[in-house]
Amino acid sequence: MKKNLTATMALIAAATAAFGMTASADDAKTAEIVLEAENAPYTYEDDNGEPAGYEYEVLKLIDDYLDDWTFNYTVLDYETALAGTTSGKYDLDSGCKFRTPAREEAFLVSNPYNYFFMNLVVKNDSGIKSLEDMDGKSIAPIVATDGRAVALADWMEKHPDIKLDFETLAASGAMADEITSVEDGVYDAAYLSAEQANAILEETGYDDLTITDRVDGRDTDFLINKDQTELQEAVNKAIDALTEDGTLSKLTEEFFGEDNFEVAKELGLRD
Amino acid sequence: MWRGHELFISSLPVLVEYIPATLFYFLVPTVISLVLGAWICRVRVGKKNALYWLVSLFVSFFRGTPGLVQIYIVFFGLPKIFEPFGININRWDAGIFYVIATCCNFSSFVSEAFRGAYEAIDKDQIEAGYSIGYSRWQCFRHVIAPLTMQIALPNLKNLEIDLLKGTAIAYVIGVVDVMGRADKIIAQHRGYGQIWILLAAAILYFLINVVIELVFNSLTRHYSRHERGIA
Repeated sequence: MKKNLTATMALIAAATAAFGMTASADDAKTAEIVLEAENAPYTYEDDNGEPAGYEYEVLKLIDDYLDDWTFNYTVLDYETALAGTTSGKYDLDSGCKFRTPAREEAFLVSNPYNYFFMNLVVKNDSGIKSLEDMDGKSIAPIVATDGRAVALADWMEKHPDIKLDFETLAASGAMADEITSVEDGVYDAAYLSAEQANAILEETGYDDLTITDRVDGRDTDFLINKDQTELQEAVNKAIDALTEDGTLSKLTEEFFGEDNFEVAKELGLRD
Repeated sequence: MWRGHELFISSLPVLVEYIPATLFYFLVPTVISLVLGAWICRVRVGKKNALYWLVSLFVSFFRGTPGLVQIYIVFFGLPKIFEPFGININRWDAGIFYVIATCCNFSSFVSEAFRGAYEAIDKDQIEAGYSIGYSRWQCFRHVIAPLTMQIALPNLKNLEIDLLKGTAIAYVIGVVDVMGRADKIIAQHRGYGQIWILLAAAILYFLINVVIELVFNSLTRHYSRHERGIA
């Protein structure tokens, strides 16, 4: 039996060597980064299967800033990405994540590297311009684990006088379906970012829908495996420096057409 | 309902390109599991020693837990087993984890198909083999294997069809096959027209399964060729 075990271990070691993936000497300083696949322009795979998006660019800047860290990238379905970051297979999840109490419980949350603004998508003739106009109206359901659902619930709690009809979904739905359900008249509004809404409207060609001005916003943060405090400190240090010197502001201008950090200040999301 | 149907036409040729990948994740576990399954079957029809109980536990576990759970366990758990030895396998291609998990799962089912078939064959045939001077290997090669195969085939056919359909969950750990690619196309379009893209994938899986069925039908004819006159 013991012999068998030794033989098995030898076999496994040989197989590992054959795959050429033996551990590097200092893998303490290598961080496995997982980017969520469904999230253009934040994180996605380009046509060549390479990681791409605003957050990938931020992570490359952080990697450059941190001399003693090397980042490896994988792009994965968001559920697997989160499960993998919890289990420690990956060290950091990048997927346009809001800070929520549940996430603070499960992960180390980084400092904000961007801001995410929500708009409403409504029928042209609805007259809806903000969430305040939504009294007695309905919003297309969002999956409960989506940060948008948390942000919306927070807003509703702060505005008890406005009766919004909003329910969360148990299973993951398609974002395009939220807008389609507004087009079909099932719900009065969809709640998502202007970038997301524009991309979907372009795809679907619905021309009787309007995107309102911003109605709310949140900072987005990386989710880091609970044990990786050293990585969290390093990443936060890099984010702070890159925010301070305006690098991230410039990057948001490139990607989103305006300085998201400045807009966040105007909306009272940052000091 | 018809919204996004143009994506059916545009995604079909893209998905066709990934048929070889799907076939890879079907054929590699098939070949490995036929060998491993035959070995497990041999252990399970033999003496009840430690190896017997170990292998029985293995079969029982992999037949009794969901395939998706097994894939996750291998994907997240295997690297943890290697970690203490200073070996980092996290960078292995997701396909390797899928193949490992699937081989464990599939060989368990194959071994049971073989075992059922082996136990059903007329043992007098084996005696007859030895009586005309066959060695153990000759007896296996000319008597046991063909008879077992003949009985196991209908069962194996079902299992192989399940195996092919099962490849469609490999995308959850990042394997890019027909379903993996379909998932990416759906993501690119943010869910717009996803039913049409899935329909394109479904048709491809169906066509592959038609071929698998034809192959098994001809194998069945081959193994039962000596019985035609009797029936």
